[in-house]
Amino acid sequence: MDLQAILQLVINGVLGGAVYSLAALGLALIFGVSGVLNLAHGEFLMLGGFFAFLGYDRLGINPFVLVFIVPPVFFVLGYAFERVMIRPLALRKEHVRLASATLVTLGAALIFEDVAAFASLGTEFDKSIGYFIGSLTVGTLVLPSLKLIMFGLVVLLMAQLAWFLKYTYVGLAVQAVTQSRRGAQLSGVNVAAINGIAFGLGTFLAAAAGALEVIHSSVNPLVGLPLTLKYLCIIVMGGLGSFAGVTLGGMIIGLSESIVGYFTPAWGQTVAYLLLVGILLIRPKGLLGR
Amino acid sequence: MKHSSMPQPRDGDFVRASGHAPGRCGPAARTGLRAAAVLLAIAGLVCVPAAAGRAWAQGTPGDIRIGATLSQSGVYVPIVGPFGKLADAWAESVNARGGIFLKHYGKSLPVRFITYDDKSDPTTALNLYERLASVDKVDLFLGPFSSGMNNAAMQAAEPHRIPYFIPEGNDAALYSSPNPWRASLFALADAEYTRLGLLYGKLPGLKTFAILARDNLHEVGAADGFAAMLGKLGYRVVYREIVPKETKDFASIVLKIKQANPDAVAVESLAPPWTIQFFKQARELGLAPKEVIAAHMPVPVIRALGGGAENIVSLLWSYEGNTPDHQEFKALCSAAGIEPWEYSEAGVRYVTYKWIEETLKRAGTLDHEAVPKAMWEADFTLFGDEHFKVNGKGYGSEVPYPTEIRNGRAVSLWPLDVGLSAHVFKDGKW
Repeated sequence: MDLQAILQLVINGVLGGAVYSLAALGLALIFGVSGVLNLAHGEFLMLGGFFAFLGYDRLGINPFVLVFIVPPVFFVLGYAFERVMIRPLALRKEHVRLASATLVTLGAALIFEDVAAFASLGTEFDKSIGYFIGSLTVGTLVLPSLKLIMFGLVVLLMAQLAWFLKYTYVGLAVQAVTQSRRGAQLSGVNVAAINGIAFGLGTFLAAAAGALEVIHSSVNPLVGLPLTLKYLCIIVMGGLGSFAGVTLGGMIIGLSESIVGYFTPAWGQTVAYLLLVGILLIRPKGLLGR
Repeated sequence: MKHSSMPQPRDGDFVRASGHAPGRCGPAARTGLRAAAVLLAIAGLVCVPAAAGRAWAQGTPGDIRIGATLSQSGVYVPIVGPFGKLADAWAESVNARGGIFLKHYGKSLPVRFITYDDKSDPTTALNLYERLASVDKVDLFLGPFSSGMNNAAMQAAEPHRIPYFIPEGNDAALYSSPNPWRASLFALADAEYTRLGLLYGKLPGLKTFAILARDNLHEVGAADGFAAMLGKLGYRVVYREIVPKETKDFASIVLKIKQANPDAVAVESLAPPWTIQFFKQARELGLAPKEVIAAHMPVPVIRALGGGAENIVSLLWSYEGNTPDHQEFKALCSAAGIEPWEYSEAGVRYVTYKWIEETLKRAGTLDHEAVPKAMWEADFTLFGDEHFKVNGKGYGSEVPYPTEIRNGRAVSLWPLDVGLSAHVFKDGKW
């Protein structure tokens, strides 16, 4: 394999990994703040993709504009989901609350999956936006324009999230709850409201990733749970509670899929799980976990 | 008939037990007789409807029930979406002529389809065929789309002794063991590119090929057959890969194909979303071979690729012609709201309907022994000179025709002389 090929694989891997990082950050945020493993996270991504597809297909809206329109709608949906499905469990014992909440998200995931499958009846199962822009070439290297734009949008969204978490009261409260739920509560933080906002933000990021996914690739009603598992791998691999770790984890998965997929496509999809096992054996807290 | 194993009373025992003269029944004997009478009554209640059912079965049925499943959800929707309407159009056309004449009953019977959505899932399909047999009591099975689905669904045929017509399922695995209850008219998957091979055998300008197959029962067999055929024709296959069904990012594969630099790239995939993703990304990453082949290009794939679909060579199970069969096929497609070229497998469906008709006329009955025999013995011609017959292993010899996408529609590259003059290379233009 020559240097050009290696560079091309790295470019493809980093550009692909960025979307993984974005969606995984959403899952990490929800888990970090509320302690709930949101198994419906991939379904929110799928629904975000479906909404973006409908916006493009039925209303003719530019798909990149939809990346900014769809996620705010899902912020509201995520907040409402937490308010209606998760918060009623708040008064239970901690371990019961977490187990029940996780099971509630699993049930919701299966319902979303079936509803989406039913809505797709008789139409194309995989929703994909037939959007094409010519790619840039540097020598023999190809820089796929769609993925470049997606990468730019991911960086923008991540920068906004980082700014929000660092410089706003709500963002700081989110960080405080992540560090210590009890401590934040004693400091006057409305933990219940922050839980809702974290769900909203996490769902916002999932929907943004879904809108990007449907532009470049496709989404179908069954993509949710496998994606949630992959994002879980990413956040555990990167280190729970670490923004940078999750970003790094997403990039590593993107790169490894790109490189392994070159040599043996059959193992390209499995490599995430092998890497997770390998990294946890060496560093149980994850790459950047504290 | 199996007899009861209960000990039968002997005369002496009877006398001793009852204390009465032989020939008279005591209380115990009367109780036994009452029990026997109740048992007889129950047996009668069970046996009379069964006997009546058999009598009904031996009488004249009211219609010919064909049980089928079709993917109305899942990955195969874009490839078989309108085939339910096509089946209805054929049934209406047959019924408008009075039905199919079955000489055993001395009259024609109308055709009725009972169709369910198999969700493009083999297990669901098998469960539905079980239901078609046990609940809907169908007379015949018409299989679903694809080898993988048929491989599962046809397991219902033998236990229920219902003849199973395979419309689209030609992987060798389906015919590896004897099964008198299923058959197909089409050649095995590895022969699928035979007519395209005849075209490439005479078409100058290509030397090297890359072949990509989706990891699935039909696709792998068809791609292997194509590679072997290209080797015999003197072409070199410089890249071959079996790619997982779940693949969504083809960037690494496209890079590898670019490095192999083939003149032609062939994609063997039954799943339209998979095909669309590959071509979208191949185009984005600058893969620009002289020739592009995609065996399965129903109209949703053509639409999704837009201008990028131009000059892609594909396969179609029918070709343009003017025989009465061509006209009937066009009329059925029209009634189903499609054009013959829009769904490459529509031709397969038409041939299978004609085969069912031929089989039933030959059998002259819906008897479950006679119909499979006639299914295997059917021998007929369509489209002027296309001969259809099942061989000793349960499949046939029919293969699809080459076609090319031109201005958003599939244009026939058959007969061969027409194909040679009409074919245009893609030449890297997306």
